[in-house]
Amino acid sequence: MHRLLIRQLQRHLGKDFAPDGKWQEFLDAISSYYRETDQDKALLENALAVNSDELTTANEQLRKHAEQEHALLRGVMNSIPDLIFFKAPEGVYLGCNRAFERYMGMPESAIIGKMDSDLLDAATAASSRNLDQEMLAQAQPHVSEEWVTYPDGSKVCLEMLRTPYSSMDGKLLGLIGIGRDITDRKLSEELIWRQANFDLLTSLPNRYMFRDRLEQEIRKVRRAGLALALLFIDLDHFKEINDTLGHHIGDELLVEAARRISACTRESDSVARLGGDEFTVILTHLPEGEHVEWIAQKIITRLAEPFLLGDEVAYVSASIGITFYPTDATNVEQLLKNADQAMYAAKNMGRNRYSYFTPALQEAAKDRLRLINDLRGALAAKQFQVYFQPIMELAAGRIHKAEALLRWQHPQRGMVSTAEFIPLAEETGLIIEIGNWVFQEVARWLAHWKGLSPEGFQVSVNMSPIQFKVEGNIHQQLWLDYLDSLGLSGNSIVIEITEGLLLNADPQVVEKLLKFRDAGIQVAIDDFGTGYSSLAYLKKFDIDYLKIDQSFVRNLASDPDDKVLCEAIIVMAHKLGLKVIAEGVETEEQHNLLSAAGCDYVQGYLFSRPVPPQEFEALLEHGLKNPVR
Amino acid sequence: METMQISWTPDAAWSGGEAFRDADLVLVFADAAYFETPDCYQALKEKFPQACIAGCSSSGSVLGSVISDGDVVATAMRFERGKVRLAVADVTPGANIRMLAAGLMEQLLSDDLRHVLVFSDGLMVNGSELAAGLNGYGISVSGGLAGDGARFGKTWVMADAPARSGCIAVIGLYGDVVVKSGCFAGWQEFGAERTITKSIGNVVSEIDNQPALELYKKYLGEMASELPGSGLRFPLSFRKSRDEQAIIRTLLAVDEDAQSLTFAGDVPQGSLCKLMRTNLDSLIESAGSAAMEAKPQHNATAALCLVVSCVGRRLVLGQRTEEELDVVREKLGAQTTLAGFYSYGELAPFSDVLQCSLHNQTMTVTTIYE
Repeated sequence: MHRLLIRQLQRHLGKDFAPDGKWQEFLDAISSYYRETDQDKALLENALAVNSDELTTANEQLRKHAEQEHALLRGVMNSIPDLIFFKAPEGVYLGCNRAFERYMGMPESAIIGKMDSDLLDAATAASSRNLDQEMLAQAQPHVSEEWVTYPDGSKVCLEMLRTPYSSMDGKLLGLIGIGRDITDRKLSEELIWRQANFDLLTSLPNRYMFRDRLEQEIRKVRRAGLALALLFIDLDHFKEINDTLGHHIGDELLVEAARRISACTRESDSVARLGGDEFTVILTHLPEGEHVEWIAQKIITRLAEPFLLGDEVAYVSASIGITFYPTDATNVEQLLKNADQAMYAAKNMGRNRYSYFTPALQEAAKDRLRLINDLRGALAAKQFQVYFQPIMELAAGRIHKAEALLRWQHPQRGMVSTAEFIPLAEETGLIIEIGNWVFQEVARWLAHWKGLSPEGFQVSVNMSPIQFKVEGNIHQQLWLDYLDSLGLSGNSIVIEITEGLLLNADPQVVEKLLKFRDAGIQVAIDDFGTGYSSLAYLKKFDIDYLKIDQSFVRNLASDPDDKVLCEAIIVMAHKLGLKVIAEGVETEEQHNLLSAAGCDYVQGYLFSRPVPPQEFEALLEHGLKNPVR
Repeated sequence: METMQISWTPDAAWSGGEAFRDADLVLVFADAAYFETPDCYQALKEKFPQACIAGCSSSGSVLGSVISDGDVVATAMRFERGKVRLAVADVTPGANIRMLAAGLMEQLLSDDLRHVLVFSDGLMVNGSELAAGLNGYGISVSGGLAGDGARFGKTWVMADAPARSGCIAVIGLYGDVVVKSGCFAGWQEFGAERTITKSIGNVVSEIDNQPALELYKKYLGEMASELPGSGLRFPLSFRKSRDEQAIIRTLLAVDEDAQSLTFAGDVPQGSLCKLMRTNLDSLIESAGSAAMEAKPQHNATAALCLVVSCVGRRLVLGQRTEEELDVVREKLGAQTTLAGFYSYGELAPFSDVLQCSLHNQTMTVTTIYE
C-alpha cells in the first residue's frame, strides 16, 4: 500500500485500523492510483529534464552555428570592396563593413548607434536620410548615384543600392545600403560622350554635337520668332600646308585656327569643327544686319594673319559661306547645304572672303546634281568620244605623239567642258569607269593605226589621282592585258599625271607607277610649273616627260620671265634626262622660241586642235595641211 | 430507432432481449474467450434471427458508461426507416489490403448508402492501407481495429458468422439514417520537432539520425525496462509537412537489435514528428470534444453512440478511463445509448469528413440516428 495512504489511514482512522474485504479492495484501488500518479509525475519530470537537456544542447549548437554564420557573413562583408551598411528604420546605424569604415574614416564602433546627421555634413546627411525614407516608404530596392568625398579628399562616384530587410515573419528591421565605386565607369562614360561629341584636336563640338546644337538653336529662335546665321568656314590652301609641312604642323594650325575663330565670337555663339579644315559658327541674338558680316570679316582677318607653328610660319586664308534661318532655309540639312554652297561661291570668287547664300547658288547646286545624274548615263548612251591632238616632234617637224582628250556631247547642253564634268566624275567615282573606257578607245585606235603611225608613235592618256587610289590593280592589269590582246606594246602609251599625285604619294600610287614602267608605259607630268614643281620627285618616280603648262607658253613672247622659266625647265629636264613637251603653242613665234630653247615636242592649235579619231587618222595619213618648219 | 443492450458474463449467460427479436443490427464487442466460440454467435443468432450481427474482440467493451472486461456486450438496434447490409472479406497473408477494402466498399455501394462502419482484425491488417482502400467513394467511414486486451496476441471479427481472425467486416447503413462522427486525442506534443530520418512502413529506425529506441529510452528513464508497454505514455505525432494536421501513432513494439520502434500505423520517412505526453485531464476533455462533434442536432433524438477508443488511452488513463465515457454521456444525453470498444486502431475522418484515416490514441465517436 502507498506510504501516504498508510499514513493517512493511521492518522485519521487510528493505528489499529484493519480493513477487510471490500474496504481492502477500495483502498488498494486508491493506493494504486497514488502510485500511478507518482509514476506519471516521475516520468514527466524525467521527460522534462531530458527535454531541457536537449534544448540546452540544441541551443548551444544553434549559438555555435549562428556564430559561424556571423563570422562568415562578417568575412564576406569585409572582403567585399563595396561599401555596406545597415540601419534601423529610424536611421540609426546598426553596423557596416571595412569599406564603409574607410569611407567614414572611423571604426564601426564609432558608427553604430549614430545617425547620418551625427557623422556627415548637414546637406549630405539630409540627402541620405531622404533616400532612406523614400526607399522605406516604397518598400522597394532603390538605386541612386552619389558623388562623395573620402577623408583623404578623393572624390568617388558611388552607385548606392538601398534595400529593406525584414525578419522571417515580414517585420521590417531596417535597411541595407550597398555602395559601389563606379568612378571609373562614370569617367569613361564621360570620356566616351566627349569623344562622341567633341573634336579631340580642337576640343570644339564635332559634327554630331553641332547638328544637335543647331537643332536646339533653331527650336529656340523659332519659338522666339528670331533668326540665326550659320557660317561655314573652310581654310584655303590648308591641304598644301599639310602636304608640305606635315600633318603635325597642320594639326597645330587647326588648333590655332579654332582658337582664333572662337575668339571672334560671343559666348552665346557656337563654334564647331565638322572635320578637316571645315568649321561652323552658329550666330544667334543677331542685333542688326551688319553684325554677321562684321564677325565674318573679323574671322577672315584673324585667319589671314600668319600662323607661327614651331619654327615654321604658315599663311592660310578662309572662305566663309553665310546663310540665315529662317529666310534661306528652316531645317538643319538645308542650312548646311546652303552655307556649304555659299562657301564654295566664296572660294570661286577668289577665296579669302565671305559670300552669302543666294537662290542662284542653289540653282547652281541643283544644276550640278542634274549634271551628275546625266554623267551616270553618259557612257551607256555613248555620249563620250575620244579626241586626239597631235604632238609634234620639234626637230623632225612631224607628228610623233598625240594626247587623247575626252569629249562629252550632252544631248541638251551640247559639248560639256572637261573642267566642268571631270571633277564631278572624280567626286562620284565615275572616273574609274570612264577612264577605263578612254584607255580602251585609245588602245583600239592605236591598233587600228598601226600601219599608219610613225615609228615610236605614242598616245598619252590623262589619269586622275582617283584612278591611282583604287585598291588593288585589277583595272591596271585589264589595261595591260587589253594592250597585249591587241598586239600593242606598253611603249605606245604615255600616262599623264599631275604633280599633286606625286606629293606624299602613298604606296599604292608608287606601286601602280612602277607597274606601268615595268610594262614599258612612260609617264608625263602635266601642267608642269603651276604647282610645287618639286624637282625631287622627277628623279624618284622615273618620270619621262614634262609638259610645260600653256600659261607659260602663252606669254613666251611677251613676258621675259616666262621665257626664262621655260628655258630653265627645258635645261633642267634635259639634265635630268627628261624630254619636254610644250602645250598650248598657238603662234609661230612661240614655236620658234621653244625650238631655240631646245624643247623636244610641241602641241597646240598652231598645229591642230584636238580632232575626232577619223580626222586624226587623216592627219596621220596625209600629214598636217600646213606643216610648220 | 430503438436500441437495447445485453451482456454475457462468465457468471451469467445472456438474458433479456426478447423484445428485440426483430432487431436490424446487433453490434457485439467482447473481451472474452467465449466470444471466439461458435456458441456465442449461435446464441445471438437465436435471439436476433433477422439481424445483421457484427463486431469484434476488444481491449474492453463499452456498456453504457462502464467498461466491461471479460464479458461480451451486444447492442441491438431496430430502425424505423434505415437499412443495413454487411460485406465481409478474409485476409490472406500478403493480400493487398487496399484493393480488398475497395472491393468491400463496392459491394456496399448504392445511391442511398449513408455511412459505412468497419470492424477489422487488429493485428493482421495494415490499418493505413485499409483506410486508403475505404476512401475514395465519397462515403464517410468509421470504426476500428479489433483489440486483444493488452496482450496483442490474436484478434477476432464476427460478421454474421462465428468470430474468426483475419477478417474485415463492413456494414452499410442505408436510407433515412443520419451518421455523424468526431475524433479527438487530447495528447500534448512536447519537446523539439524532429525528423523521421529512417522508416519503413510502421517501423521507425532513426529519428534525427539517432536510433529511435535510444530516444524513447531516454525519455522513459526507469520505465524503459517496461517497453513496449510503457511506450504508450509517449505516442508519436507526425505530419508530412508543416501544413498538415498531425496524426498520432501508438508504440506497439520495440526491436532491441535494430534499435527500432514499431508503431500502430505507418510513419513515413521524412515526416516531422514530436513526442507526446500524457495529460489525463486533457485526454478526458478530448472525449467530450469528439462527442460534441458527433452530437445529433436535436437533443431529444434517440441515438446510438458507437465509441471506439484506443487501448493506449485505457492503459494511460487507468482507473480514470471510464471518465471519458462519462463525459461522452454528459454531452450526448441520457437518450443516447453508448456502445463500442477499446481498440488497436481507430478508423475515422479527422478534418476532411470523407477521408477516413487510421488513428491511434484517439477517442472516436460515431452517432447513428433516424
